[in-house]
Formats: sequence, structure tokens, C-alpha cells
Amino acid sequence: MRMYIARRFLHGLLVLWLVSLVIFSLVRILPGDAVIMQLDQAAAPTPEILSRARQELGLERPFLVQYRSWITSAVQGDLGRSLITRRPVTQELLKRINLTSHLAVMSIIVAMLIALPIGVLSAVRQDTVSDYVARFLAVLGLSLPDFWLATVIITFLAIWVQWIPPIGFAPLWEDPGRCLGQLLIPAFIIGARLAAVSMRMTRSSLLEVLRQDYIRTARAKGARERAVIVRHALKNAFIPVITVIGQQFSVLLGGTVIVEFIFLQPGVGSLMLDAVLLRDYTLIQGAVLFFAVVIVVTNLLVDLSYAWLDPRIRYR
Amino acid sequence: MSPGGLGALSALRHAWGVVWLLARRKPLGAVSAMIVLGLVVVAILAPVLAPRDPYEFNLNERGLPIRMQAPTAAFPLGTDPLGRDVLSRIVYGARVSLVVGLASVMIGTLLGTVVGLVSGYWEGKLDQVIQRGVDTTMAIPGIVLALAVMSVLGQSLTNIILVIALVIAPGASRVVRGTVLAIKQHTFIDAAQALGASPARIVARHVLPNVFAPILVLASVWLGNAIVIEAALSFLGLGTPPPTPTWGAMLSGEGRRNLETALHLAIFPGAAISIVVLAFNMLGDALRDLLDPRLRSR
Amino acid sequence: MKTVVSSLACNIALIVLAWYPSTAAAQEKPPTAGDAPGFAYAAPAFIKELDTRYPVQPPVPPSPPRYGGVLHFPATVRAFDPTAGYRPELALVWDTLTEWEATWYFPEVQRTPVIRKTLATSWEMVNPSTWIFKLRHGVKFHNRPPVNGREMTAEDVKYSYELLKDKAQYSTRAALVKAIQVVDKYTVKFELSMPDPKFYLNVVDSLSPVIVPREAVEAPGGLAENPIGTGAFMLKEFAPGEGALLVRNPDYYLKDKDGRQLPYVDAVRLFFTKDPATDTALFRTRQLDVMRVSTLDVLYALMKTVPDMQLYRVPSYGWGDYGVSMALDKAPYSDVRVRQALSMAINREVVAEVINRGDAALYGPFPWALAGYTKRADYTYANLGPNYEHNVKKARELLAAAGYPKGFDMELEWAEFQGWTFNEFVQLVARFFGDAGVRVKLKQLETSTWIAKAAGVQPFPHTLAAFSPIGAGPSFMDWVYLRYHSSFPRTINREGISDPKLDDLLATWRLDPGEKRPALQRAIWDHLRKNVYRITTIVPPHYRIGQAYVHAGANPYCWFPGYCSYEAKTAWMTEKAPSRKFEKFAQ
Repeated sequence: MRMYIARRFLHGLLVLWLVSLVIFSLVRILPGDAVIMQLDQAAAPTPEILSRARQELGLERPFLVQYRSWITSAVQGDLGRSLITRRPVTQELLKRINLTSHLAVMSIIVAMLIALPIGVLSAVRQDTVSDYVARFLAVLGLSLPDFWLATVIITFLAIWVQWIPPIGFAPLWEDPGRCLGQLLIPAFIIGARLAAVSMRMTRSSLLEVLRQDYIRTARAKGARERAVIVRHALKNAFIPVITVIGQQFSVLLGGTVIVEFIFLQPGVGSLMLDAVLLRDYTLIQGAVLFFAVVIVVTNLLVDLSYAWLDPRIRYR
Repeated sequence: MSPGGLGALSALRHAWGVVWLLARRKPLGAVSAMIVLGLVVVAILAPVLAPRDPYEFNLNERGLPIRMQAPTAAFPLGTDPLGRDVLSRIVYGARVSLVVGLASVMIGTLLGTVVGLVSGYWEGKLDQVIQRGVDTTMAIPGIVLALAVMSVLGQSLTNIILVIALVIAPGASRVVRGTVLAIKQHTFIDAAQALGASPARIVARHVLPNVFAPILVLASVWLGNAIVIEAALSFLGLGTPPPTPTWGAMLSGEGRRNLETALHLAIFPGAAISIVVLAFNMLGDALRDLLDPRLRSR
Repeated sequence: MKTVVSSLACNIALIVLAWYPSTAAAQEKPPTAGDAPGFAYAAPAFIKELDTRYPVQPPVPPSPPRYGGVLHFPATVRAFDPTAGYRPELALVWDTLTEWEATWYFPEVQRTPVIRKTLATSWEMVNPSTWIFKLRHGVKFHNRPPVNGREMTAEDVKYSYELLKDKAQYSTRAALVKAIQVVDKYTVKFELSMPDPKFYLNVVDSLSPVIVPREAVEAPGGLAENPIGTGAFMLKEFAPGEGALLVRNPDYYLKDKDGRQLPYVDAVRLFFTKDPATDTALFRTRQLDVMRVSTLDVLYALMKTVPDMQLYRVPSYGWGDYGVSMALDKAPYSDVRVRQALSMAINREVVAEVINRGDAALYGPFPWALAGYTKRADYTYANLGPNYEHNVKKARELLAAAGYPKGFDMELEWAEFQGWTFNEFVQLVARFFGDAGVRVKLKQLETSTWIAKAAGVQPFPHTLAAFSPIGAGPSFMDWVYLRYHSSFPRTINREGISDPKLDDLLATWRLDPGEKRPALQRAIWDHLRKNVYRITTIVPPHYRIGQAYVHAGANPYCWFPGYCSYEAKTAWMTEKAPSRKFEKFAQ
């Protein structure tokens, strides 16, 4: 078991190193750079001035020199300074993570509140009208693009109700009313999508469990249907659902971009989008590396839990 | 009749057989299948079905384009900001959506299947290397990948298909690898190997048929996702370049910009996307229910 | 297996079929009059209504102004640090030696640019290469550590210029300054590298170095962590990606014409919005007080729901135009006949209709006002010449004469850029060029790539749809001299125009002390409109809207988010304004 953990850990490190290399090179292929993106439209600099500005940012050094200096400090926790704001990348990231975690957690709660009841209902009454209606509703969440939904909501809320989610983030413990008002609608939009995926998972996993022998035994013993479902089936059915949620969490961290863009919530996703558009290399690299760490750690935890649950895997 | 036509005809017959099967067992799946078939028909017959040219600017008496006209008899779904007929654009848009969906999913799942097969069947060092590569690809955010491809290779329909395929492939490879590993547990693989069957034969005979079902289900869902991803790419300015009509570009461009003055520009492409994505998802559900013996109805 | 193969064949057939969008294009018939009447709303009537309801002369705000309130407007600031790149919003915190008074330019209303004296109170030309500026006494930096409210002196001006002259944002202006000398505590002498009889225009706007205190620059974190200047507001909170909160500087030196101290409002809150839908929603819910609207459609929609809004509708000086730049160094664009033909192929009425429902003005090689056309009635085809009139037949003849009887192929690059609808523009242009026989392939770029090309950093192979290179103020130097003289690199002279006769005219203009300049400018205009170095079409007006409870300084240049900064100094809110707190940004 220990060997297994050690091996998976090393694999994770390898992936992180590969990601750092790939993202470092990838951003430097994109045309344009941070110096150009910051210029006022009316500014008219000469190429020498631009070159000097790039030198100040350290962008004119050879590729390997730049990489080495970045990766050595990154390993020690210093992700460098943003090329645009000149503030430390770690500081920027930490600020945004607060909001994104709030949003992610709320989206998951919303998704669960929608998906679980519908999924259970759908599985228990398979192929009946309730099943169809439930699945239809759930899939509806997947079929409209979220940016479009967000625009429609913000536009018509403003027209009909004269209210939109307030701008300016306050964490839950500081100002719960404002926080909820801000994040509930974006969480709903993101959660609807997540709900569709989770509902499917719940349904198919519960269906599978319901076919198992021990369920038949419980029924044969004369237990009531509801007890059968709640006591025996649900517990086992939820394991894959939790896995899916876990996977989706890392997707959520990056996947909230478009909603953040429209509701002006400064999360990690919009930080990434802005950084890419402005060619802020250090910020992009820092954010991607951060995401990669989260994904690798999540995968590691998931694999470890599988290994713990299924002894066959441990000994391969 | 052309070979393409013959192939299409026989495929249609097969498709009809599948549809009939579905209709009896899974009405919802049958309806979705009909919708998908309808989409295919509309896409193929677009020049016949569209009342006008989707690229033409329709002008009024003063020679100016009839912009953002609400639906009327002459233009049943209205006109867009350049005076083009929305109905015709939606009909032709079915082509692009279908092509983007099919091509990207086909390429993505093919790529993913090959990688997953190789990785899962041979295991060992090769598997480890490939898996690390897949992990790395999945760790790079889609936006960065899309931007990199578009900036370097340029923005075109082909490159969009490539980008979406690259997004699908890692996930598909994971599924395939998992299935292959599960199948390898079964003893008949060992038996076949003991009998001296070549890896290719084993793969073709025993592995592929079992992989086919989960991939098919995955693919049907991804078909819907691909269309939505194309819309998201248009929103970010990385979508299919004009003047090609696509539902995604219509929804995220003029549809979103003119929500208040010209709602028709957003409703019709939005409805088209929703219906088609819904249909693909339902179809996937029905296929999964049919093909996975563990999930069959009592 | 057979099913797989046949379905594969079916798919391939589909894909092949679908890759025939060209069949559809081949079906294009010549344009016919559509049979549907009218538009989504009656735009010409709406435009007339705007003309009557919002006259060109803005209403005079009531007097006396009321102190207090918090002003909200949208902005885009990435760093409150002048050394990192300047944005007009930074004028809230840092001043230049002088600045533009609001309404400095509006045809029929205000034709002489008015300069507001901020840090400099007077200037004097010793000779065209030496200028003396006298500074205002008693100007204090913000009262915060490490500067603690000390007085600004000539030393600070010299320090600021030397610090910022190499930064990309200020380099064009500062390039003219060879040396700065401190004459005494309140007097600075500029020595120029080239004579310039209008050097006082050089120090006026956002492209000139702002005055910063040495202590703040040298403190740990630099200006980003110590944003101290002499401006009307002090930065209280900067939330990147969300917005910023600035509070009133109680020691600000500027007074209004009745002697009242500026600014009137207690605080300013900026919102870093990214999407126009967010802007309109915020305006509707009274969270934004002043902002710019880019098209007539949006204006119409907003007016329906906020009927009591104020509107300042100003013909654009030249910002916001729609044009096409060409690669002039190679065929076929090096031939003037080709350029003229391309320009003639475009129907500018249709462009105006599509871009802004007809509410747009014709635009020539540079702003009308700089060529001496001071009334909007002068913005006509007659003053532009035959190259700007729609004439497809003549275009074809010119192309044939230039050696392209069957036309040629062109790749037109463009990108989505907020505030412009290039999407529709390029499709129109492609159609027009097609009518003249030029086959256009539209190539969409990713926005940042396009920015690099429009900035002259990356070349474009054929043509690029972009706005004309702009100036920061009403200066011929910025709009014309820099952009058309062959001595400047591509980052300044985007197309690399190299015309000896033009260079002569420009050099003569430059050396002229002033009387002959109007005639020279007109001569340059005539030369440029014949040569069509850049294809220009139309420019829509600016729409600056404000809530009913705000009286802002009526600055029409609040069309571009950020120029409202100048306005914030003279804005005031009535009692009807929503009450807002300003302890922190998120309130």
C-alpha cells in the first residue's frame, strides 16, 4: 500500500512538471505580449521603447533562463509577480479562490438539491411518465449555454425587478445576506448544469444497485419498499455519485469563467481568462499550475480511496 | 446513384431498424432518434428547404438592408442585423452544427479509443507514459488550449473541430482504458492468449465489441456538448468565422447583443440548440439503457 | 460490422456534403428589394426625436452645486500605477501639468480647445525650442505616508519626466523633450529636441507624464502600493477584477469658477465591467451613474426603461471610426488606382445603416475639424471627393486600368473588439469588394492578436479591418503628422506610408509657426483624400448617458470608459441620488 501511494505521488509530481513546461511554452507561442496589451489606443511607441519595456519584465531573456528562474522560485512557493498589476501571483490567486470556493460549494449544494431527488425518483419509477419528465428537466440544464442563460437573467432581472446581484464580494462570514444575494443566481446557473450530470449518475448507479442480489433478499424478507431503498440501496448508490462530484469540483474551479464574466464576480476562472487575453504570462502559469495541483491532488485522493475500497487494485 | 447515396440509403435502412426497436422499448429514445434523423435530413436537404439564400442581404426600397425585422410572412423567423433571413440561416446552420458535432466527436473518440486501447491492453511502462500525457492534457484549461490552437493555426471550422476533439479525447481514452482493464480481468482473454491469438485479433474480437457500447453512449452525449462548446467558443470570439451561419455564433453574437430589441434573434437558434442537445442526450440515455444489460427494465 | 461501415460511409457523405458552403454562395442573386416593410423600430424617427429632445448645447446645470454623494461609473483599470501604463482613470489620482476642459470640442458649440490649468498656471515660449512653465503654488500631494502631504515643486516635475519618459505610454510625448531644468521652486524650463511652436499642447493629456512624488516611487512596492499624487481623489481600495473606491482629497487645489473647492462628490466607485449587458443592467438598477453606450439600438432600449436619463450626443472627432488598413508596400495595394477602386466600391450609406441605423457621419483621412471643416453640414461627399462616392462601375474600370480586369484575391483580417461591430462591417465590406470583382476571404483573429497587428507590432499580409490610428487630443501632430510621416516606424505609422510629397507638406507644417498651418492642413487633406492610403467609411456619434440625479461636467468624451475621470472632478449629485456608503468597495 505504501509503495502504491509513493508511486502515485511520484506520478503526480511528473505530471506537474510536464504541465509547467507545456504551459510555459504554450503562452509564449501566442502572438502579442503584456506590453502591447496595456497600451492606450492613442499611444505611439517605437519598437525600441517596446523592447525596453519587455526587458524590464524579463521577457527578452533566453527561454531556458526564463523557465529556470520561474520554476525554481515556483517550487519554493513564489509564483512571481503579475506582469500587469505587478502584485504577487499567489496573493491574487488566494483572493480569488475565496470567491470561487464559495461559488463552487454553493453550486454543488444547488446541484445536489436538484439532482438527488430527481435521480432517485427517476430510478425508482423507471420508464414511467415521472421518469421521462424528470430526465427531461434535468437535461434541460445541459442544453442551453450558460453564458446565454446568464445574459438573459441579468438583462431581464434588471428590467422586471430592478435588481441585479450586487457587485463587490463579501465572504459568507462577513456579510451573509450580500454574499447569498450575489452568488445564488450564478450558483444556480452553474448548478443546473452540474445537476444534469449528477442526476444521470444517481439514476444509473441506483438502477444498478437495485438489481443486486442483496436488494432482492431484503425484499424477499418482506421489508417495505421505502426501507429497502433508503437503508440498503441509497448508501451504496452514492459512492459513484460522490466520485463524480469530486471530479466535477476541479472542473468547477475553472469552469465558472463565463458566469463570472457576466456577473462580475472575481473568481479564479475570470482571472485566468483575463490573464490569457492580456498575455500575463506569470499569472497564467501560476493559475494553471495551481489548477494542476488541485487536479492532481484530487485524482490522487480518488485513486487512494479506490485502492482502499477495492483491494484488488492495491496489489497490482 | 452515387456511392455516397447508396451508403446513405443502406444506413438509413439500418437506422430505421434501430428506431423501430427503440420505439417499442423506449418511447423517449424513439422521439429523440426521430429528432436526430430530422436534423440529418434538414442538414442534407438544406438548399431545398431554405426559402432564401442565407448569405444574401435583403434590401428595402431605399436599397438599405432590412435589419432585425421581427417575424413576418415574408421572413417567417425574422431577419438578422445584416438583413439576412433567419430561417434560412437556421436551416443551413444545421449543417455546420451537425458537421462540428459529428466530426469532432468522431475524431475525438477515435483518438481516445486508440490511445485508451493501447494504454489499457499493453499496460506497463507504455501505459504509464501515456497516462501521464493524458493527465497533463487534462490539466491544461480548455481556453488556453483553444486560444493556442486558434492563434497559431488560425480560426476556421476545421480548427474548431480539432479543438473540440482534443477536449473529448482524454476523457474518452480514460473510459476506454477502464473498460479494457475491466475486460482483461475476464479469463477468456487469458485463454485466447494461451491459444496463441494475436493481440490484434484479441482486440478486434473480444475487446472492441465491449468497448463499443460505453463509447457510443459517451459519444451521443458529447454530440450535444460539442454544439454547446461551439457556442461558447463563439462567445469568446473563437468560433466559426462569419459569414458561415452556425447556431452557436447566432446565439452568442447577434442573439446576445440584441436581447431587448430583437429577441427573435436569440430564441430561434437557442431553441434549435436546446432541442438538438436534448435529443442527443435522451438518445444517449436510451442507448445506455438498451445496451447495458445491468440497466434493463424489469 | 456492416452497420459500422455503412454508418461511417453515411457520416463521410454528410461531411463532404456540408463542406459545400460555396454552393450556397454561388446561388447569390443580385440584391432585390425585399417585400417586408419598415424596421424593428423606426430609427429615422427616433433619431429626429433625439435631435429635438437633446439639443446640442447641453443644459446648464442648476446652481449652486451640492456637495456629497458617491459617483459610480464603469472603467477598466488593471493597475493604479502610472509606471505600468496609463489609463485615463488615473487622472483621478495623478495630474498632468494641464488638462482638457470638458467640452473642448464640439462643432457649432465649442471649437477652440480649452485648456484647464491644473499644475501649471502659465507658460511662455522663449523660442520654439525652449519653453518655460510656471507652476501653481501650494499644491500638496495626498496626505498619506510616506509623502505626508508635502508641497509639489519643480523638482517633482523634473523627476517625473525623467522617470516616465522611457515608458511606452509616454514616450512619444517625452521624445520631444531633450532636457528639463529646474529654474526655481515653481519654474521649469523645457528644452526640446526639435522646435515646436505649440509645445504647450504636448503636456495636456493622458499621454504626457503625470507628476509623481519620489518617495512613493522609491518606497517598497512602488507606486502600486503607494498610489499618491496630487489629484482630486485618493485611492482607498483597489479590487482587481471588480473595481476601485476612491475618496475625495480634502486638500485639492482646484476651484470652480465661483471659487468653490473641487471635487463635489465624497467618493468615486469604479466598476471594471467587461460586458455591455452588465453595463446596461447596472445602469437600469441605478448602480451606474454615467456611462457610454455604443450603438443606437442599445440607447433606444435603455431609453424605454429609463425615460428620464440625460443624453449627450456628440459627433465624434474621429474616435470609433470603421476603416480598412492595407499593406501598402506590396501589390496590388501599392497602386493608387486599386486603393481608389476599393474605396469607391463601398456604399457608405449602407455601412452607416448597418453599423448604427444611419446615425453616423462620413469620415475622411483624418478628423474634419483638423482640415478646417467646422460645421457638421460640411461633412459631405463633396468635400471628400469622388474616391469616397459609391461607384462600382468606375471601381471596376480603375481595377482594369491597374491591371486587374478580373479582380484579385484578398484576405481581410479582423477581430471582435468591444465597442465596435467589426463582425457586420467586414461582411459588408467583403460583399462590396466582391461586387467590384475582388474576392475576399475573411479571416477572424483572436482579439489580442488583432490588437498586436493594429498596433503595428505584427504585420498583416493584405488588409486589416481596424479603426484609424488615433490621437489623444485635438492635435494635428497626433492624428496626422505621426501617422503619415515616413520617418516613423510601423508601431506609429501603421501602414508604413512613404510618400515624399506628403513628407514635404508635413515637414513644412511642422516648422511653420502658426499662420499658414490651416492652409497647409487643408492641402494635406486634399492630398490624402486623393491617395486613399487608408480606407475610411463612417464614424458613429458618441452617446454619453447619465442618470437624472447626476450633473456631470458635460464632458462628451466620457464616450470611452475612463474619460469620465475628468468629469468626476466637476460632477455633483442631487438629493434624489441613491444614498451610498463608501467605507469599502463591497457595499
